[in-house]
Amino acid sequence: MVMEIRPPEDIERKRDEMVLEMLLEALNVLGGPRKIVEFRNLTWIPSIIKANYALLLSQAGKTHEEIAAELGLTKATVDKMLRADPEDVLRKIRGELAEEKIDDHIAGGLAKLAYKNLVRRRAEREIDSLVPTVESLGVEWAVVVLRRIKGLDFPVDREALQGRLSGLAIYDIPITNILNNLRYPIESPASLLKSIAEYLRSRGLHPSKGK
Amino acid sequence: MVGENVHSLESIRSSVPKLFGVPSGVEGLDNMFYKVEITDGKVVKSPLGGYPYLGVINITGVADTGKSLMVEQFAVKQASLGFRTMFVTVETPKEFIAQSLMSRAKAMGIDFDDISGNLFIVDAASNHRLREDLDYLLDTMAYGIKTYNIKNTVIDSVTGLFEAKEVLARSVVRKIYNFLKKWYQTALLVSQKRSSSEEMSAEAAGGYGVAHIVDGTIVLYKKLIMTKFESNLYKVPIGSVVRLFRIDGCRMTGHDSRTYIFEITDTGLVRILSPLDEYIRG
Repeated sequence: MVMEIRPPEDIERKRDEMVLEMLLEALNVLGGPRKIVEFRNLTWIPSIIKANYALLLSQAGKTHEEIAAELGLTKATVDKMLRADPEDVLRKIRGELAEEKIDDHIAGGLAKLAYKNLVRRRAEREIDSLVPTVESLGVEWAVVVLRRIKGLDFPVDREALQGRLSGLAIYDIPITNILNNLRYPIESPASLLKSIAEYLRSRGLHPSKGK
Repeated sequence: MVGENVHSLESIRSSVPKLFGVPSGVEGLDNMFYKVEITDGKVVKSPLGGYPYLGVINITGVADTGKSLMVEQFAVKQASLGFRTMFVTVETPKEFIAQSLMSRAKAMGIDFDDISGNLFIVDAASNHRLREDLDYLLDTMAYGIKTYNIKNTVIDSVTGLFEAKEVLARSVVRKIYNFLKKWYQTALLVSQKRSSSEEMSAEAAGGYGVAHIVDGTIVLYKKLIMTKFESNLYKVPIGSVVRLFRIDGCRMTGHDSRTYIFEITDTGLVRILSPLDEYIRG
């Protein structure tokens, strides 16, 4: 039967949980709890929390104006947070951690780094749990694909997959042909396997047996 | 800050989506969108094979012109190809939409049991808050897209989301458009045209300037034949209904801009027949 998508009643609670996880990860990026104590200044925690919310709300499809209104910030602050370059911020915080206050740009960069680390860890956990299953089912191509994509950031685009999977062929179909026929971005390792399996079926092949 | 808003074409080149067709499930429609390529110095038009991928297309017309049938055919076709499709119903409760999708699948010769796992419904017709609170609706849609890896979205109709507050129409549609783009959806929006709007014009394309926001607009129109002249012209008896179809515009790709005759078959499928001028010439 057709599935109904109901409003996720706990969407705000889930967002709050993610913000907390991101905060812990950001503190980790900053050097961990011991390092934080050394600075004797925790005034930037509210900035990181706001940047975490800004990032998650942006990913939920809200505009910068809407995020600013929801978080009680100016649009310029939200712009600054969401346009931060995480790598640039990473370089900066390594040298200037002693500053008493972190600006919106650094808070935004930290939020992005924290989010990226968490998502990557989740994808890796998903891969680790999928590998034994597909191995036991004897789907060799899926095992190879999962091993090769480990460490990729999801959602993933065609170019990133092409880079990791180049040279591979599934039931004699070059991976480039397969990747050219999938829809992007692909949200997770499991979605990737499903999309490839659907493509194989559309070519009259059984995903685990071939012809 | 200002400089960050300026991007070189080179810097965004890798993120430009590929242009290809997403089958519509409507006989005669897929080849009306085309792309133009230069081969051996010659301009060659090649059919796209459906709605442009990641396009947000507005389908508009007065009541009972076949808009809902078209989007249902799209949902069924995409589900049959393995692509998950979310149907946001604003007018008709979910049970009736499910029934309608089953009828459409049957008429299209598709086993509903094979595709139902790829169809998802958001019932804004029965849930008052979903219909009245756009942020709540978009949060729900985002949750659905993310959780179920949905690739296509249908909203029937966006007009229901700004009922009695038409002044907000553009901002509602703009927000939905930006949302669908952000989530990489190929989407069809149904909008209702007032009978007072000029029939086949761009203004008729959902009214309220909606056509300026979306990527493309399709206008459906039905004409009741009431004079001898019209009866001779369209070669149908007086009292008949002649159905007209036109792609009013599409900024993503080339398209046939002629007006077409279409029919709604006995089994309830929209089928594009022939260009109006050819039909009249016989």
